[in-house]
Amino acid sequence: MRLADNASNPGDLEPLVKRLLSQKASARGDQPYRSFRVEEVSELLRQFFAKENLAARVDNVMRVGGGASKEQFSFSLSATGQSDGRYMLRLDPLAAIVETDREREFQTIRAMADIVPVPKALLLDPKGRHFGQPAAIMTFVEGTTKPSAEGGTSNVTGMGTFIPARFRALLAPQFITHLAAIHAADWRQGELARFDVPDADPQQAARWQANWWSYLWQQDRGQPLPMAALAMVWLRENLPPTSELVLVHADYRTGNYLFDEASGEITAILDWEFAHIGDYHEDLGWVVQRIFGSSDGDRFYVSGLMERDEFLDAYSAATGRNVDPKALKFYEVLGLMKMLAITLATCVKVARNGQNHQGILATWLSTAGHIFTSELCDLLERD
Amino acid sequence: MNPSPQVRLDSMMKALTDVILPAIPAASELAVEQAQLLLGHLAILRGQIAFLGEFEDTELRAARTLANALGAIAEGSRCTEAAAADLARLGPNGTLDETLMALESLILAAAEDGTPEFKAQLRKLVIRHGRIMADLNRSVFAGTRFEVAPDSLPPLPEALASAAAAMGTIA
Repeated sequence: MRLADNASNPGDLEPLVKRLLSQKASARGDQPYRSFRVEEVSELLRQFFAKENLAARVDNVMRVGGGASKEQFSFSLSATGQSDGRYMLRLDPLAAIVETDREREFQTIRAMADIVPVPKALLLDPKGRHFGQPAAIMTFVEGTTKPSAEGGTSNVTGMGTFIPARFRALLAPQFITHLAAIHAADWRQGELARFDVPDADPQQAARWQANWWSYLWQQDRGQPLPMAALAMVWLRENLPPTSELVLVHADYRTGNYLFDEASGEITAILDWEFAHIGDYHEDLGWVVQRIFGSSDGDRFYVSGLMERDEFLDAYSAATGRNVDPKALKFYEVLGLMKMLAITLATCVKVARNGQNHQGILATWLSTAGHIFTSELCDLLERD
Repeated sequence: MNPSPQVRLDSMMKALTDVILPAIPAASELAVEQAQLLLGHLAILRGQIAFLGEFEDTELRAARTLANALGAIAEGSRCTEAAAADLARLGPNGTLDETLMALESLILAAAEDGTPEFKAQLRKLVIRHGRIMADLNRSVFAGTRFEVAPDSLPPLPEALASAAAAMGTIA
């Protein structure tokens, strides 16, 4: 039995997500994936700029680490007719740890250019006609995801980043200000107006997300997990109504922004690939996930920056919005289900099938799934 | 004499630490990152290898205990009855995958038409099972350092003993 077969709204997913999941199911197959070589990427870039009639010289192509789901290469361009400097190529592997749409990401970054600091989105190959896989080119933004000194530490992909007190004081207010600005963006205008809007009924925003991650779990999990089944049922039975639709970043946390170590200024908000129209509680429920936080021994800081209540109060003060405990709990459970699907289902599957350049990272990340199961037990037991 | 798995893993880790990692240019960020992850995986495997059999036995026993408990109290209409019948047909010899699959079906079926009493009991027992297995797995993978307080987790032999002792709570 599959949950979606029984749901009152079977298959009620955001249309873009439905298409991505359908493409993933039909296209992935079992063929292994070989990472791009630097020399291949250099040649592809040279051909690409020639084809686009941009008299650009490509140099210093380098593979960039850190990303868990996309292949990333930095390179420099000169005599482009646009600004010279360093750029970033983001390429989808055959099977990503998270399946998202480069065009959506590109549109979102363009739309956010005057709202929060983001890389400049320059060129897009949405179908992978040139690069073989969907790809986007953006400006390279200087900055770091964690302080290199004063005890700043993190696990992979910025999880559990410890931020020393001096940087917490500098970064926390900006973190709130930028989140408030994202949620204040007018999604009815410009590029964002092309996004699908979950307004068929008040619960559709929550249902689209619950269905997405439940469906992904069932599609990718090699082995069922009773707690995951219980969480899927709980989500379907506890969909909160959404009073106000906003642009949701959907991966807003420390590790997904860059900052300048000298000034402490946030230089770019990154990883917009999950962005969608939804409930602001979704970002709040994600920020407070324990896996993204860290402790100094006495206190636990969500996203390494603020204590939980301090963060929620600061968000309310900055936006004038109330934080509804029931909606927040739903989105915390959703966040855990999302991470469970990514870690114990998709990560294991792509590593097993050799379809991603980061199989070793995928298996490493997968082990965090048991922490999410434990936290699901805590949250659902308190119901 | 054959080298033990521990000796072989130690020699791989030494090669990575002493020779391979220092030879990777710092600019090759992804290569450095992946070599470090390789070292981490090997260290965790080294700690697990002696307990893999016991871990698998515990995992299977926990799934079968939950299946027995839920099968004994399953109550509901058509969907629940059908899923409970599938679970019963599996009997005591189902593999781990078969047992977990049948459990998933029963949980989803109970959401459709299980009685409120069964759903409440199911929820309690599934959470207990989830907690036992999550606690055990967190000790198994404490070396990844995703935990906020990894040193507070019991070492693997103790975690296995705790899981075995807690099995009665899902019976």
